[in-house]
Amino acid sequence: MTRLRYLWLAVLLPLASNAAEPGSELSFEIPTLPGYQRYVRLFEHPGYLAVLLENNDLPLTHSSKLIVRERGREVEAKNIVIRFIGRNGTSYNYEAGVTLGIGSASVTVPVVADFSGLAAGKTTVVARLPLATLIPGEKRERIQSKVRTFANAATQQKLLDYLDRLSKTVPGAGFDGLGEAILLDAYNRGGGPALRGDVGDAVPLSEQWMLILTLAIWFILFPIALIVYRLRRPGAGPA
Amino acid sequence: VVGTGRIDLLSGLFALGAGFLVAFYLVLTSDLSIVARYSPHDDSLYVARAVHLLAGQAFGPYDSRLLVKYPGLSLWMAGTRSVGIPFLISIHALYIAAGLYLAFALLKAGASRWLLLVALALYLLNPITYSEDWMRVMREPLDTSLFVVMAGAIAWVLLRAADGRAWGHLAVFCAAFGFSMLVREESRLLWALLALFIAALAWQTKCLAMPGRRRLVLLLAAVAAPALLAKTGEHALREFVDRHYGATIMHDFGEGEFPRLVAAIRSVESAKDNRLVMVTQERLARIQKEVPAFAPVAERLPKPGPATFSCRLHGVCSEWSNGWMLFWLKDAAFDARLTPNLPAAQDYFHRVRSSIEDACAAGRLRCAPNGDGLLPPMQLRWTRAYVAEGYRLAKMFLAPELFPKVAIPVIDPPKEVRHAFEAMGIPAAAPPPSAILAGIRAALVAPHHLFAGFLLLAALLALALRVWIADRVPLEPIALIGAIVALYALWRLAILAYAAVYLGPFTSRIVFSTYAVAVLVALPFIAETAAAWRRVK
Repeated sequence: MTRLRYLWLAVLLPLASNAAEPGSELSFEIPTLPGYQRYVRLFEHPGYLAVLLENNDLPLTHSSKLIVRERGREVEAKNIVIRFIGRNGTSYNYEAGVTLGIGSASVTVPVVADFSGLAAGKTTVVARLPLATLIPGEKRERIQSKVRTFANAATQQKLLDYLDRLSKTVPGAGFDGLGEAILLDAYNRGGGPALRGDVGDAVPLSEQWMLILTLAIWFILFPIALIVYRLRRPGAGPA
Repeated sequence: VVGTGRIDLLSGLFALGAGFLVAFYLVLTSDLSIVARYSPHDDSLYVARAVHLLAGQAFGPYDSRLLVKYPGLSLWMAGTRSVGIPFLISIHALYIAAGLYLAFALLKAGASRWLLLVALALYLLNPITYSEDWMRVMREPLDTSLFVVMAGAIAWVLLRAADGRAWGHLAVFCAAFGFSMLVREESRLLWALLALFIAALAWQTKCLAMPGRRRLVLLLAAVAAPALLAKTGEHALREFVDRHYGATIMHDFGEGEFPRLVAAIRSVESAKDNRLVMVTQERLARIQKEVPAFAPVAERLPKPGPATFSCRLHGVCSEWSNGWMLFWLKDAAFDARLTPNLPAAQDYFHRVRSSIEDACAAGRLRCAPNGDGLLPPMQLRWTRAYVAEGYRLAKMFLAPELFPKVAIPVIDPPKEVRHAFEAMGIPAAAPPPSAILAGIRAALVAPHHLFAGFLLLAALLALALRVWIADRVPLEPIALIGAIVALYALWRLAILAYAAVYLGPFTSRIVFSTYAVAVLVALPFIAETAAAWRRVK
């Protein structure tokens, strides 16, 4: 899941160079290949972006399926939802949230991506987080480091090459044609597990701590508690 | 006299009911026959070894597959064939006899006759006995029946401990235990069954207040006799292999130099980090470069891809998963004429392994050792995979799948394989089953699965309850046998889940043995727990 968040940042704003965070904002300025100007409309469809990543062997998550809604304007993976709200000039507004698993309740934060500097190779993303100032510097550094890992220049170039290649297959079809081509490619790659990498690929231990904790509670602590309770109960003995 | 007459009548009715069930089982499966399948690591291997045994040629000429599976089934086939018993009849007969043996022990222990008849019906109409895997020359049917025999023998020994008539049943246990150890590689898990048996016997003899010396002798015999017989059988088999093939190795896939070679290969660092893939393409390329002796093997290995079994069955498409690659390695070495016999194979695997280790030590290969057996040690980072495999196995245990969903295509057996099957009394082409019987069998599957699954879940809850009140209502033979079966089944599932983390998902036949015993024991065990609970109240 952590990887999903980082990759999401990586999609919009590959490569963080510095971060400035006035008040409740978490802001990243990211060098971006100018070639993405040709596909800027893709940023209105985060769902297509997620599929684009999967088509290039960069799955957002190994353990759950992507759910793409509203022609790609909304994408959900595990309990993370990202929705495109609208744009104001070169500023693209999103809503990123975590579903709580109780009905449709979720916690969301607004995210703004500014593509005005795209021609100059720069994108700015601002997430308006409540109490953003409380996020420790170490955590910010870690986020930046992860974004660099997943959105380096080589990855950006790979995605750009893919988009260029794909757009040649649908000449004159515009953005809609490109979106359909991305989905069609995903479909053609489907039918086998290769789409999400091989079954059995390693999952970071950091994503399994909750499971390990749950197992420890049920298979170690709970039996011990039962035994202690049983031994202390008065009147225990043969009938 | 009236009471005795009533008991006799009830016993007679029970025997009649059991007889009817056996007859129904025989009719129900009467149209089924063994399917001759070309499967060089399974069916046709077992058959070919049996044919050679009967011809006095040991297991036959050495090749890369001869010793990849334990030889117990081949010994069984050769033995039954030599006395003129057809293979399928031997399997049916053992399964029926084992079930009756356990059922009568439960009856003797005080189980309700009517509940026991229901339990016996569940056992005899068990869909696993007319599943695809039961109608092949596979080890599971034999292994299943032997496990039922062991459970029956344990129950009888617990019952007869006090009156000194346990020895015959202990001998039955020893025979089944010793032979089971030669049937499947994971049969070594049966040592845990022996430990549970001894603990139960110690408990039972203590409750019966047996005289100290008699108790000690019985316990010592129960420990020593099965262990000695199992080890003697293993030793004899190793000597046999040594005499005919030049090394005391019973299973050259899991012991000797081959697993050490696999461990050395997987120690080489690789970008691909996948629990199902030990021998990655990257590792092969690096080793091939540093260890020229390995090149002929690496060159012969098939390439991974979307059309491979590895991709279709395990979902590993960019590599070969362990379920295939390890066998390919042995096959490729043999095809390259590097392992023409067992000592040469051991020598070759040893040389390659030493060369890899030398390259690692010299820094020519970057290595990170990860165990020295065929399977790596369990790692915390595979917890999620372990839980997933454990869950999959638990579901199988509650309701085994009868037909694998993604079947490997059935290949017509080559002529020599057909002849081998025919030599063992198995026709190369099985006659089609009866449509009526097939319809009855199909109709039985869903209700059986539903009822048995529910019973097994209830039995697990009953186990927890029975243990909870064990200090107030001591465990008696039915409770003891129920607890032994449940604990052993859980232990086996836990270990198999670990193996599945690295070898990939097992098919349902892996749980046939514990499933068969559990459906027979569950109902009497639940009833006994309910009775014990009432006594506590």
